[in-house]
Amino acid sequence: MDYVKVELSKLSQSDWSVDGPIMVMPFTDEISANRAGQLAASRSSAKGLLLAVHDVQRTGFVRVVNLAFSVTKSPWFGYMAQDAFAGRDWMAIALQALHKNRGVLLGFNDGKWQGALASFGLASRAWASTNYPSVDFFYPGYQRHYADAELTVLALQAKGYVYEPNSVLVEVDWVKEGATVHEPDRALYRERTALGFDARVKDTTLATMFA
Amino acid sequence: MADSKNKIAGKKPATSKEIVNLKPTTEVVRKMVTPPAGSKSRPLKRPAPVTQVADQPIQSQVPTKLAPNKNNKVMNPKVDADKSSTPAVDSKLESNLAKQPPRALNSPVRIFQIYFEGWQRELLDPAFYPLDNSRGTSELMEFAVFEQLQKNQATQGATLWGALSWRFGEKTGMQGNDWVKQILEHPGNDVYFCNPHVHNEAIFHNMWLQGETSHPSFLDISKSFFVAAGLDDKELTAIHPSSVYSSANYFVATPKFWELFIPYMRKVLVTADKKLNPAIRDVLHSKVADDKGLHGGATYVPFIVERLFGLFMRTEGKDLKAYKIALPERERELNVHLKLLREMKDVAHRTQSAWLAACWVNYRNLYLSQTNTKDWCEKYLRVITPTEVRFV
Repeated sequence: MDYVKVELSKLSQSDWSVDGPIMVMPFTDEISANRAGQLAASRSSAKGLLLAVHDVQRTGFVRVVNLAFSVTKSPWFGYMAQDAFAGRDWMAIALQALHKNRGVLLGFNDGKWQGALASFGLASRAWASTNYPSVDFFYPGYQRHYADAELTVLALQAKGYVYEPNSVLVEVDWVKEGATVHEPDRALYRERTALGFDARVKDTTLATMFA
Repeated sequence: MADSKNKIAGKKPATSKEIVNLKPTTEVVRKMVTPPAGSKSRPLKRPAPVTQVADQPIQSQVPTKLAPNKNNKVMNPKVDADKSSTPAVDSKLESNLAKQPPRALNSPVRIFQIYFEGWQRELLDPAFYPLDNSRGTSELMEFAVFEQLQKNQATQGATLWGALSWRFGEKTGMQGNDWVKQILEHPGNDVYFCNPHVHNEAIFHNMWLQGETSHPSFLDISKSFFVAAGLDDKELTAIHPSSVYSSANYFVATPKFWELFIPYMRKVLVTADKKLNPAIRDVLHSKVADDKGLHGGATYVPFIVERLFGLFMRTEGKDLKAYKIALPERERELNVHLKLLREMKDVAHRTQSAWLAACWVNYRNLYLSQTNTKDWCEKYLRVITPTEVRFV
């Protein structure tokens, strides 16, 4: 993969059209982003683009990912953070797993959720484009948390969620382990759960998975 | 062809000016790089590729050893060298081997599987010959591979040959062996094909109207193309039976088929290019066709070419025999409505019943309005519902 860094304000000035996957990595710390992005690109063993987006104004992870989704073109679109550590061939293995299983969303082995949740993920753009009426990848109401949980539930409902433990993209959170959840996001998730995520999720077990 | 006409819904066709206003993407940033030097990628589990299609003759890259190691073990070359010495090579034998394809490529049915990246090799089917097309750049995509294979030594002497994509298993739900078995069990046909997108047979009059929901202004571009190429554009709105639906260019065919099909396509493409309004021609060859980048930035050309198979089979290829291979995995995915809709449409076609076709359209529209968003229905439902009922 290619590693390209761009400021959020300049993101929509280019036409990002890629034959393979695009992984967007919103970042606030340039040193961490470079270290994570360059290593991940060099270990991907697949063509594609790792797009590091500098969130200077602290717009937030969800909004940056959504903006990147709306201005890029690619068959696959994924998200990761500046604290990610990529295992060898992580992207090649992820793509193989998605194609083998006809999946729509893959959760990487993040060393945390054991596949229950795609905290770092890679989705089919054709599928992701149909999730919301707006051109959004994540539900735009979330700020920091639960957007990935909702996406995972939607993929499970579509019977297209794939977890491949050999595709490693670990979240190296030295200090976040004890961090609390963003309460407004949790409240929104519960609210959306009750509505079956705009009536897209009919399985109540799925709907209440992360509530 | 029935001539009864039922008015159902109408849409004013776009003018050529509107088509021209679809501006091709001018600044496409392609981010495709090979792994950096020194990167340690995983060892590949499959044998080396048969060929690189783009520039080199197929034989030049045929590996000298196609048979796998029987014990599936990595041999230590040093130990082997100590145990036995290599006999001298007969220069005549060496020269003969260089001239002829390996034994595997002498089989009467030769099916190649095109791939572009290393990681795709693990998904290839062992029943097919891996075909490295990583350097292929033609906008014609698979069709360019067909043209090159036809001229290449690798297909000479084959009774049937074809080139499928690396996504064959994913799309068809079939193993290569089962595909070959189907061919062998139904001998005497000129072309074996399939349709991995089975649901389209139930909900669209034909694949041209289906294209309108996948590629911007597909019908208008296709209509201009047909007119320029001298083809009958009634094809675009007529009802086609499910038996002729084909997508993905999954053809395995006799040399006779390829000798007719390839020049036909070439002639159609050249004629259209010559006669098309230059502004529409620019759009035809632009990446506007793939507005979300789901198809590697493909132009309209490959999407038109893959849909011309049915027309070819009814015109220049009318004397050829075709066999459509059923895809049980894909059939299983059809719900009860899709099964009924497909059957209803096929009966309407078989009996040339405009009344039944109109009933199908109503049921189909009801189904689509229940399974798609309001925006989707507002955008497409009228466009994909021609004002008159006509059968091919």
